[in-house]
Amino acid sequence: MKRFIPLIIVLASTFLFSCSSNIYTPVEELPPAENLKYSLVFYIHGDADYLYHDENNKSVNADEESVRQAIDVAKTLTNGEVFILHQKRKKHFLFFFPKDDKEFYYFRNGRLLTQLSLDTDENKGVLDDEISFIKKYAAVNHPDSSAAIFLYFGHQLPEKNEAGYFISFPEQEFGIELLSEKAAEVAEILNKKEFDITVLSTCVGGTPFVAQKFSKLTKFLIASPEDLHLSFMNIDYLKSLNNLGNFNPREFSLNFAESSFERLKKKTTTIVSVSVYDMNYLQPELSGLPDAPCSTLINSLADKKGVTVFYRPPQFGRRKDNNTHSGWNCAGE
Amino acid sequence: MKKVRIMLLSILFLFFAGSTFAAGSNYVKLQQTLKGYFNDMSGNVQKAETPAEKREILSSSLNKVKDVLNTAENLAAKTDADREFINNYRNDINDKLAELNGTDGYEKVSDSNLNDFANYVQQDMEQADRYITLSLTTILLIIIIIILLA
Repeated sequence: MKRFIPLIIVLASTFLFSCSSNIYTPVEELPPAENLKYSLVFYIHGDADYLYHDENNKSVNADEESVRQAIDVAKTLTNGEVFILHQKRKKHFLFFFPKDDKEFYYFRNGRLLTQLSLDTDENKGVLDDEISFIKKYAAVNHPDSSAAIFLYFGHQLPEKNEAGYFISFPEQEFGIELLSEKAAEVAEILNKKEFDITVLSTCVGGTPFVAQKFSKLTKFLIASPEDLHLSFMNIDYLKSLNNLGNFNPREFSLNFAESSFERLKKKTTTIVSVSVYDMNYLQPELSGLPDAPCSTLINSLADKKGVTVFYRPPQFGRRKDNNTHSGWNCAGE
Repeated sequence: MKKVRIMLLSILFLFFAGSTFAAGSNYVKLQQTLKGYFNDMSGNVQKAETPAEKREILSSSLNKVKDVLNTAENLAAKTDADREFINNYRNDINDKLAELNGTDGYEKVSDSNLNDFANYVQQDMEQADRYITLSLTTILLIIIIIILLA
């Protein structure tokens, strides 16, 4: 029996350490928001396969890496508040004991004030817990001049809501339609009519449908019209917000997109495309689009102002000699 | 003593079963197995000393996956989604083999570009694209054969 004692200790410790404690600040004890210039909301989807290999063939989980980078940004932004909402894959201990699959963080002025683990309640709607969390902690005294940025990291979203996006909850329906509705709720909580910038760090986010759905929700949309490697867009660049004198959303969007493009270009040999959609120019075009197939819509949008494309063809494959890109694509093509 | 051993083995089984066979994890396991396979292939290509060796590793690795997909199609594929997944994946592998060898209108990958081409094959698998629901038998068959090949 004695020889089994170490094994029992290992199993017991694994169980104990799997129940991590949370950092929690009651709302009434939150320190006052000081010099708040930015509100950043990261939604990082991890309920799927996000494994990739870096330049040294080392395994990386894209969602965990994104959370780590977002936390670094949040600690740096002494003039902002940052929400990091991580949806993890559902796991069980000893088959029967569900582990929490949502991890939420709230930073204000560079300080982590609350870290909360939750178990998904399938009776609630997708992103309901996330919206409640933002509602509970968001600072109430945003100056009118403060900027709001919404960032989504995950696999390509279906345009119309459909089941299957969440591997652990395959019945839950999700898509661009629902994401845009929930993003609108987040903007309202932050006292904004629209976000200054929305980042969709997914494959094939640069479609007319996506642009239409976000056209009244954001001044600038940054998305990839093609496949996007799982090392994603450049979260680190957001640290530069802390040293900016005046925030210009157009300039910042272009710089963020270019830095993401350059980073992906160095790391990958596959196609790299990051586009910035300026809704000031595109909104009239998008609202007047007929009910036509996506390829027809792309043709009518191809020569319009308002899209800046950073593009490099893949180093191999049929498209390696295609040196230009319109910045638009159709989902599933 | 025997009872204690059985009990501990049961606990261990549940521990691994819980982490490995949680709902929806099978497709993830399939993707990760394939990514691991192509990562090993890429690593071996970088380590190989001559272009001939590099070309041989690429060619045999891609052909093995094609054979696995053919076997899965014949023995396990039950649904349209299974067949679509296998077809798309096989077409993709065929394209890469054609480019490696310079057939089907492709310019042959030059000896000096074989390391980059191995990275390209691997990275093309690691995009933030969409998911497909496959049947368990197809998934498990592909995983088992790939693990046996490794």
